[in-house]
Amino acid sequence: MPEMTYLEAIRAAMHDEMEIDERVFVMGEDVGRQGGAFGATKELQQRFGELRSIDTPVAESGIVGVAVGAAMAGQRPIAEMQFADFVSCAYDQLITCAAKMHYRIGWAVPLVVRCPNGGGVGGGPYHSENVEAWFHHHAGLKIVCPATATDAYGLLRSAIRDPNPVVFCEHKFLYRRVKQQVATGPRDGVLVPLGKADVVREGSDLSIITYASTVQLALAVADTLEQEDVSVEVIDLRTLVPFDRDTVLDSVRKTGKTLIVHEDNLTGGFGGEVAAVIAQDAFEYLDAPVRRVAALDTPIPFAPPLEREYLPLEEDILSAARDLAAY
Amino acid sequence: MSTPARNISAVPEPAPPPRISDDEALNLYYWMVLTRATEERALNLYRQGKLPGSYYTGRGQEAISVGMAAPLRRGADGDWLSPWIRDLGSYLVHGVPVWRMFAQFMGKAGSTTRGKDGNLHIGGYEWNIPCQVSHMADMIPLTVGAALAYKQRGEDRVAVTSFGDGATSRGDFHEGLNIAAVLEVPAVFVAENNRWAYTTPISKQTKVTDLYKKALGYGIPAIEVDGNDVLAVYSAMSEAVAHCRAGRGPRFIECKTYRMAGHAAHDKYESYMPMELLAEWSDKDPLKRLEQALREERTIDEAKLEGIRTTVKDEVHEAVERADDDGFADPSEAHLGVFAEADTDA
Repeated sequence: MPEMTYLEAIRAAMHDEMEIDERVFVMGEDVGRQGGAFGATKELQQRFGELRSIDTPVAESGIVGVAVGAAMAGQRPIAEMQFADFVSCAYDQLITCAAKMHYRIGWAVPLVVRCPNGGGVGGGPYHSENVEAWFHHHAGLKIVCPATATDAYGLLRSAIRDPNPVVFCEHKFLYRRVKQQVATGPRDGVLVPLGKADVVREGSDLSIITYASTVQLALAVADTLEQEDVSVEVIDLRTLVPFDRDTVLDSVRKTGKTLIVHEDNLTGGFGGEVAAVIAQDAFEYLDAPVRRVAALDTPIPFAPPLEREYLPLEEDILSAARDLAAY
Repeated sequence: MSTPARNISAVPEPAPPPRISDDEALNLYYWMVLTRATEERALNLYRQGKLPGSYYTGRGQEAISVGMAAPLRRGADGDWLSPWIRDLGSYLVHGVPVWRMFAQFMGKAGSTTRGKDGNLHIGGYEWNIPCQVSHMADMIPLTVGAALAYKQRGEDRVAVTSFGDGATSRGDFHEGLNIAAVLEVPAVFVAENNRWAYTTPISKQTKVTDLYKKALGYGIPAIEVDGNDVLAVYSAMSEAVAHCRAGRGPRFIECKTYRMAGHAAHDKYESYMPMELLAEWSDKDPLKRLEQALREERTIDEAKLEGIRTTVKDEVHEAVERADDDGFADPSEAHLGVFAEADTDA
């Protein structure tokens, strides 16, 4: 099994699906000859040609709208947003056309919109956004947020095969910082199903429920607290839609204490939904209030000290987890 | 007599359109009569309080809705057709049964959306008609995408969409046309310049009131035709479709016409629309003009036309009865269908 980065895993997933399914193609700004701003589609045009790796004009709404039409006409497009932030321009196409078409006439829209998500890379207010909550409210879109290279690969392959529109939030900070041996290959590469959370670390005193970039931070916190005799369970949600309620509720009923962590800002973030589900369906099991650690409710500032102030850091999670453990 | 399409683009002058046979002309007549009769009946039902929501007609634009759909291949493997709110005739010509139109207006289970959407938000995989949305111009990029799929697979199918002058102000008009031109996809864009977007006249919509000029700006060969002459629309459309099937990229047809009613049935258009303009366009009514051409230029017997009108009357009557008898979908269906289980379960 080759060791690869999260970014290489994303490229491998697209490559492998394109090898076995000629309906699959990529489109977006600079994705063709250049292979994308980050190299996620590198050499796909050389391998599969200009009709399956399409350089488009700078037109995010147009890109997503064209992808919706191509999906309905029998292709399986993967539309790349150069940065997740720019999907705001395509918001209408996603919620108006992609999300509601099947509900209205039973016509599937098998589409993936890849969104390079998140901060920590000095991107400033327009190259750092976490966009998952923008779409979470709206019925009809699946939302995937991988935390590891294997999940990036396996979830992307599942997303491409899914008959629904999928917003694939891949975290830029993880692109080259996360490495793993990944079982790839057009026919025998690993598939990770959408809608199944991962219990990445078992524990008995406290559950940290998280996804994407903060999974690694939660694991580090769990290591620290283990030395303080606190046993932390870490749940990686993997996909927000579908949301694996059962895995979350099972964990909370076991530990009785919950810390929800995400890099997205606090208010209106996915954590609020997780907290509501726990409050309703696991209330009798709770030994402490449900806590959340998330980013500030501000735009994402550029300068490194300001950005650090904005982001939820390991020490923020550790402090909240300690408080909760002592409650 | 059909007005010849005026080609103002840099592309070579097209070959003169083949003469439209009497049978073809009568077929267009049938669809136009059916379109108008369906709309008039639906408007009456609306006024009787039998249709929920609002009701939108395309009165005066039947030549476009019928003429643009008639040259297309029908069925799931046929051409993609995404008409807008004024084009009831397009849905009929492209295969949607009349009774299902009424069921749609009534919100019945037999509607193409099983009551989940209303008015002309009609569609289905079996007809290759995507379900339009209320947001102007959104269907333009989708249509470009379908055309891209046909090009990728090397199929000689085309994707067609229509929209009004108001839609040309939206960003998706720009993005869709630009991408279509750059990717050279087999898409035909039909702009229906009816001079009004709700209460806003075209003079307040755009400084470029000849919409075909906008398409030329994207490098798309474009023509303007008399949108109240079904034979002209049909000819222009046939030529554009042939151009697309031959792999020569997108085309744009502007149909000059006039909206002969309010934006919707509840719209008191008399308060803002100059009545003399309405009267002037009333004389150019597309149905009257076709009847005149059939009688005077093609010397078709009035009895034949009367026969078509009688057939349509019966058809509409039966369609309304069938839709009336149809039930509503069970309320539990409101929960269903957010996500697809398989690629096509339509």
